[in-house]
Amino acid sequence: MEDIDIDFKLMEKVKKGDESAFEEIVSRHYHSVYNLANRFLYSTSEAEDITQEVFLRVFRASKSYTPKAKFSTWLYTITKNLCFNELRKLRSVQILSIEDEMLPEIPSKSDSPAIKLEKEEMKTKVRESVEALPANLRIAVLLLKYHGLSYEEVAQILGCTVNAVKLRVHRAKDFLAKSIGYLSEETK
Amino acid sequence: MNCEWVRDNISAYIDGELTGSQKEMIDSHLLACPECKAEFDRLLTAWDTLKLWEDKQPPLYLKETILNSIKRERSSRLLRILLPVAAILVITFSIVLFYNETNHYDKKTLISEKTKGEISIQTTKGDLDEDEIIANLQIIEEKDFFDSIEMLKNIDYLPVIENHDDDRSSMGYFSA
Repeated sequence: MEDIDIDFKLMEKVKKGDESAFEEIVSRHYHSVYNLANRFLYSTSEAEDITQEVFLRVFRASKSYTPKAKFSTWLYTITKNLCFNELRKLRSVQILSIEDEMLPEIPSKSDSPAIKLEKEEMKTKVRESVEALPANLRIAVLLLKYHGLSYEEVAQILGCTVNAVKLRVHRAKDFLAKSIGYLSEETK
Repeated sequence: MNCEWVRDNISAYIDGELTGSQKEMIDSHLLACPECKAEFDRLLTAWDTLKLWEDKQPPLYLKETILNSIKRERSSRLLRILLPVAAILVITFSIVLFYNETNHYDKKTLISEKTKGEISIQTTKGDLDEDEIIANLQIIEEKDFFDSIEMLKNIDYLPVIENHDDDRSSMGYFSA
């Protein structure tokens, strides 16, 4: 609740032209926006562009901003819309970014090579399984799992009912269980 | 309670989206039903595995890039407001200046011509066609008026007209 109040207060200051308040808004949320876009599109460069565009839109709309829901709900709605637009564009030109695959992850020092390898394999499986989800299910999973949102908040962002979110999440979990389970059986 | 209801709500149960009583019902069902418990474990394991996909640290320059784009937006927003205002001011100023210059030039030309005693209304009109004179009659008359005023300003005193001679107008005195 305190976090919500902080965002509202900051947006009030932004409305009055306070530059430092906007900087504070960016500092508080750009990490989440970037990660949502990155996981959804699986591209760091697209995620950077989208994060920049999200905050530009927030700034443009700051004068007319009225707190109807949580600030983060509004922020994720803008992010989701931009991600879907980007996905449509990417699909239309059939470009798939693989840059993340080319960037090696820094391994944890405590794990043995075998565990590291197994973890890396599992991470790849998870990423591929989430990526294989249909866009509507994927965004629901990302918002719920990685951003800690409730069904109601996800419903607001996706513009659907709570029951629809419940159903989507259930289907996504079933899909992920089959996908990850199938892959792990295959590698045995 | 049947297994179908539990299976439909097991995902919401994992996400903590059920009411207290619904949660309790599933808790007790899972203790009694191995099939539903297996389904619960399957979904929960898959859901927990997603934790492996950790957050990525955004690049260091990203925040700066965002703030720079906001600065540019702020400047362009200011320009969008100021540019039309500036344009209106420049146009208004130009129009006022143009009319002032034109008016001043006309008056100056006529005054200089009159004081030399070379040109009368006729000579001014002489440069114009008959149609132009008709079209600009009002302007010419206004020039005449200003001319008279300027001439009055230039003389030291007005001679007193003692007799009412119709042949001698005030203009007659000036030209004399």
